[in-house]
Amino acid sequence: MDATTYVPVGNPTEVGFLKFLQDADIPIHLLIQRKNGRIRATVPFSSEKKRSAIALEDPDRPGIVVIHVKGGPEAILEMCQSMVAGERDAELGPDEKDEINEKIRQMASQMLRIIAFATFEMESDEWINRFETKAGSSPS
Amino acid sequence: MSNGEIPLKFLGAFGLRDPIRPNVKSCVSYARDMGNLTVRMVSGDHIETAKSVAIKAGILRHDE
Repeated sequence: MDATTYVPVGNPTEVGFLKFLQDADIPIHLLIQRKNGRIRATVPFSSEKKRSAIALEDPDRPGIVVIHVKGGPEAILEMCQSMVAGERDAELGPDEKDEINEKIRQMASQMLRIIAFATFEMESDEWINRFETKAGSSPS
Repeated sequence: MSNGEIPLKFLGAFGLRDPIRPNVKSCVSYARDMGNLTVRMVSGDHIETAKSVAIKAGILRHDE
């Protein structure tokens, strides 16, 4: 790393993750900058819910809001109904969840802290109707 | 973004190691042997992560 390399600071788990991405030559600083001005909502991590979330306007697809959720695998999996499978999406039913949970259990028994990711996208209008009007529920 | 209202798409998961500090095991055994204390651990991690860490730190035995 040279003097101009972005050095993440903060929560050690987050920093560990960002450094892992940097080791894989992923330009995290540029990706983080792409969030600027596009954040529609954030839900901070709650140790009770074991997840955090952010809603972002997609920089590459105007009019699309993408919700990113990150947290403990047990909390994330129960909110999921589909999964990324190669280039396509696949159904995430009880059997697939059992399989993923078993893999997670194996990783966890090696003293690893597991962080899971999930996403959902919607048209900006739907986002506004659901979360930015008085009638809509606020993000939680 | 209320729980259950939005059907999320699972992207994946990864594991990070948060190593136990080198003096933890000796501190735990000191508290137990010299202080006659029962040491327990509080963690928000996955139960299996917490268990394996607790065993490594000498807080839990394999058969507990």
